[in-house]
Amino acid sequence: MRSRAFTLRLGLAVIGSVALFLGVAPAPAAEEVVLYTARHYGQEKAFDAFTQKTGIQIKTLNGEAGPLLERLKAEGERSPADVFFTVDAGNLWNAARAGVFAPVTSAELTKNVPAHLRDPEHRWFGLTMRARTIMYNTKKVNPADLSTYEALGEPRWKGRLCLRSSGYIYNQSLLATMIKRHGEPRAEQIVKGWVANQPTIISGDTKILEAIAAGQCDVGLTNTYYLARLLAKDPNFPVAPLWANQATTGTHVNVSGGGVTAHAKNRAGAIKLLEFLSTLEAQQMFADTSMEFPVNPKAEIHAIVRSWGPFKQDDVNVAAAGEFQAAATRLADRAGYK
Amino acid sequence: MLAASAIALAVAVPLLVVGAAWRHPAGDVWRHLWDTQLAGLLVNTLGLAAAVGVGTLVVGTGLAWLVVAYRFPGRRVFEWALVLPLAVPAYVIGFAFLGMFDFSGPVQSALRRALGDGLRVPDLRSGWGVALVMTLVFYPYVYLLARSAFREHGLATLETARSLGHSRRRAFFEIVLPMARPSLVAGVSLAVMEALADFGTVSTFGYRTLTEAIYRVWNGMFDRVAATQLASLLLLLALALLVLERALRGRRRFTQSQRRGGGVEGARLRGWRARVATGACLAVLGLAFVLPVGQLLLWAGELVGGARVPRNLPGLLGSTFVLAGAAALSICALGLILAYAVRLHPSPGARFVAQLSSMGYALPGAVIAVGVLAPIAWLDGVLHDVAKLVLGRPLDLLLTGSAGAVLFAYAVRFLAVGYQTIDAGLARIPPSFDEAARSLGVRLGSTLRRVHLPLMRGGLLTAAIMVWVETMKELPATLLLRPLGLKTLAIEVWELTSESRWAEAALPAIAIVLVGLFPLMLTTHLTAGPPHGPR
Amino acid sequence: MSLVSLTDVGKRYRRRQAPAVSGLSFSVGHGEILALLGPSGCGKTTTLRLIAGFETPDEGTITIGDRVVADATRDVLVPPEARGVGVVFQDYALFPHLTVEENVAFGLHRLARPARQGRVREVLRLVDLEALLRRYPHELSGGQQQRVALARALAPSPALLLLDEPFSNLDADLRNQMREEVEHVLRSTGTTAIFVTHDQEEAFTIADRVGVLAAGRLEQIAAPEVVYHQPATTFVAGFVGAADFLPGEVTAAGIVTEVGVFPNAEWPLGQKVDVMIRPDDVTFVVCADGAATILKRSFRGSETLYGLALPSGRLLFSSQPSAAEFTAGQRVRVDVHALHVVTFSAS
Repeated sequence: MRSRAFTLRLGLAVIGSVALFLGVAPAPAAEEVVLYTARHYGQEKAFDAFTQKTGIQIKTLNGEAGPLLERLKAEGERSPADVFFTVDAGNLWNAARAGVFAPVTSAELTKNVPAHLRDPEHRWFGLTMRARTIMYNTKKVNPADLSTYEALGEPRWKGRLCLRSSGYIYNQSLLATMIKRHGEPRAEQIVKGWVANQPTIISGDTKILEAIAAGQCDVGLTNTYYLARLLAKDPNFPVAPLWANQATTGTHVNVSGGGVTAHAKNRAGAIKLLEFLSTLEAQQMFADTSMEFPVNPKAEIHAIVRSWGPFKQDDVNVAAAGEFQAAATRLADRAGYK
Repeated sequence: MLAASAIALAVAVPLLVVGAAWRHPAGDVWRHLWDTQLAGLLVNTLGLAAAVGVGTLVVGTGLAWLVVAYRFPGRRVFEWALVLPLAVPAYVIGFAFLGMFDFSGPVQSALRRALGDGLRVPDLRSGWGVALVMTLVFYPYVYLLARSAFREHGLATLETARSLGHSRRRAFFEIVLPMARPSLVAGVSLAVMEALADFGTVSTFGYRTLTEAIYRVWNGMFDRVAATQLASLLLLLALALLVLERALRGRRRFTQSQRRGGGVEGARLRGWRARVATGACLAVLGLAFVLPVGQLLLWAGELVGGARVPRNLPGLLGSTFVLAGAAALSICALGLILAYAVRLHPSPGARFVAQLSSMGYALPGAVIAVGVLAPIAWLDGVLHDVAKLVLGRPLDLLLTGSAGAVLFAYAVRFLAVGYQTIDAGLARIPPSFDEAARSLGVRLGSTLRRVHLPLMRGGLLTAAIMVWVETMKELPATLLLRPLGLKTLAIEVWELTSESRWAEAALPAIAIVLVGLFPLMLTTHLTAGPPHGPR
Repeated sequence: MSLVSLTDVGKRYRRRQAPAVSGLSFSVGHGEILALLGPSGCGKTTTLRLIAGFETPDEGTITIGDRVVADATRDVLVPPEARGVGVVFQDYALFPHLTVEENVAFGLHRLARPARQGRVREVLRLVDLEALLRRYPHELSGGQQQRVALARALAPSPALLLLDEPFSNLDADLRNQMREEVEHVLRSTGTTAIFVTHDQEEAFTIADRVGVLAAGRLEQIAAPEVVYHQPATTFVAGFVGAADFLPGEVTAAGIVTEVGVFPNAEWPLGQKVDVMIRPDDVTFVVCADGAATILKRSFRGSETLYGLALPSGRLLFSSQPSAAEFTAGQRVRVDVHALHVVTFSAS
């Protein structure tokens, strides 16, 4: 009997503490900006600097782009979020289409972020840039044999190509810009060329780079910062990037970025945050920690990344990634690109 | 009964939300899927479900019978240690596997060095690879349930059967196994539903299933409606499997009226048989636990120089503990109410409703999370309007982004774990016990407390740990529905691994394993010996 | 004033299937012991479960004491725990996680601790199990388990005790002993009881009255002697003891059969009837010109049963003390001395 009473009491205690836990409502103190973000690395330093500078606290809720957008939509006008961050221009485009952003007119942002890396309608802005290009094994491949994304469909790469799945967002965005550039029939031809080379599908850019280094394949497509991180650990890592399409359209770039939400409680603070993140100071921090490219052309690129030399970017507006993403997904399915 | 209906209904709401996606047409997506891949997806998905079902059944049942019915070196340790893989998140095992056995991993690299570059081994990134990993990850469900079923009646039944002239083998296959059927089915269906809902492992291994397609349609085509419709297909599939099992079961019943006391010792294995038994346990444990945890430790080791231990580890541990504990308690309570209600009113309809309410387990977490979001946000809207009317002022979001919403999502996702396990335990208590208690003037509630609960203590604890371990590892729903600032170990691990920062992710991942081990140890301790009464 | 009464009670488990019981009406008086007798599947256990409250009747009413506990027409249904009815189950349903003491105390949750302990001891003394207070059910023999089950059911002093095939799990010796013990306990506590059995001997030994069920209907309910000697139907006649039926015709002299003439009290002249004849009513003497022949002989211990072939070819059984010895093939003259002549209209 005694143990039963004890169990009961224990149960009540647990329920009580849970209730307490559920009911904990943070008391509003200092000014704060609430950030929903699907980008969750390499920004803490810049946030700290922002808080130091402005006294505005940043509260973040990390998540995956799709579900986070659903939460934002479900919360509607009572959402606590002031800013929504996500990786991939396609995601930004989709969020804008869903109406969760309010346009921002800011000279600072327009000045700091190149036009092709932000929404033409000022709803979102790219804050870091990533390039997705060709990677090759330095011991087995002569870089002179490599030129364009399209050329990876040449028969000489049969059985030597590693790709991520077509379901991977950065590949979808790459395909989407290809559609924008070349039109759907040509883009499909290119993808079919890759598929004809029977690429090994590997999940994870880092894994692809390791596979190239180990000799499982000789060339692949990845974002550059993954290589930079591997090289930072092992300078002799036998993989190097080749800037794709330099003679033609330029290397495909994508962004991570964000915008101010339509129902922001602290719109002014939110704009301040975006502006700060586009400044030289913050951009430098991004570049140093995540080894991405800063969007602000004045910021300095990380030494390892710099060693690969300058390159010509594809300057089509990254919003194309969203516009043609669904088409890209279907195209990949049709072409048999897994 | 009323409470049970309310629970079933509440938990079914997000599933209805999923079903309601059909209100919106998404015909062109379907046509596209039909043209390009739907058949392949279905084959892949069903194939995986079948392989994982058979795999977990064989491994889980085999190991459970081994440790219950035989004695061999190491048995005492294996008995509890074989549950350990449950505490390791599936994607960690998957990643460790790839890391170890991939082309660029140490095993193949060493083989190439020894045997030359021409060496080609079957690719782990295939249906078989996924099935293997999932079997290793999910077999503990079957193992746990089978073990408690075997412990309760296995050996006594075996003796009866052998006294009737059955060989040990025949007795096992013809008597012991069929008698444990409710438990085995519960375990296997949990494993299969997990396999159906899994996204992490299949995407890591590049194996395309319905769930993978759901994410692809959602993220790639920005079409959540079509994605949700696909998810309802998954739901249908899981439902069909359950209905099939019920149909095959027919009118057989599996309760046992006379219990034999415990204390029957397993047969001692000697010589090569003992070595095979020990070897089998070691092999499974090595692959499913030692290997991934070893990999984690290696990664954690890389950090020692940098000493970047997450500062917030105690906070993460705390919130993980509280959430998992609250989920374990509440979900077991819900499962118990549901299972008991079905026991009291055993109509096919009631059973179906109960089953239906536990179907959330077969859905990918993100789909559930969004399904939970809709009704919660709606409720918030109602509260808001009411508050405006009554208090004359608007209300902040009360439920959306609250721990309550997270717990609700856990209930939707994991009620299956609680319900199936508890139902299987309850099914082994003869109905005459209920009647005896009631004829002695004891009400239904007290009967539950005084008769059923003590008798199914083992099953209840099993349910509680399984829910505990599940919620501890749960990601999508926690991620989406949590309050601002609430973070669990799983979220920390995910944030780091999604950036391939495995070294930093190792410590919180190890913490997950440790937090999972805690209740596993506790149960083993609590259910090890009968403090009173036969077991 | 009866304690329990059933009026037109019916229960059907599945639609389109024959009802488990129907049109059931009977009552049991205070302190009375009623046996429900019948072959398996006759509805006797269903009847018990209806009274206990484990099943809901589709038709009719059930009254316990002065309270209607189930009324199909008015949707009255008192749950089992509120009926004050004790049940002893066929499998005893002892809770394996509780000791003998705890099992017996199970239904005494409304009593304060000292009172509870006192009552447990009292009841266990009644069934002579005081010494095994701390044992668990699996540590007891079958007979001991039976007694615990009885003690547990009696502990809350139920107005009515129901026993479902209480002795079927026991071996023959123990069964006889337990029968006596149980009857003794029931009588000494003045408990009203209904028990279900398929064994007529068991029913006769313990019960004040026996109700015979067949296919869900009550064929007859009466004192054991009445049921045996004056069965209401051929089914009862056959079920409660061996019986042969000889055809006869009603004449002015009485009912004429091939073994003699029986007095007629009820039938009109010319009516064809079947006369029930029990083996213990039949005697015979060896006689060279006897009309019957001993066909077979089966030794039963205290008695020997002889199968006699009548001139018509019909078989008639006769039970004789074992002391007498006859052999098959002997011609005999048959004599029937029926105390109660039971006849049924020939169908």
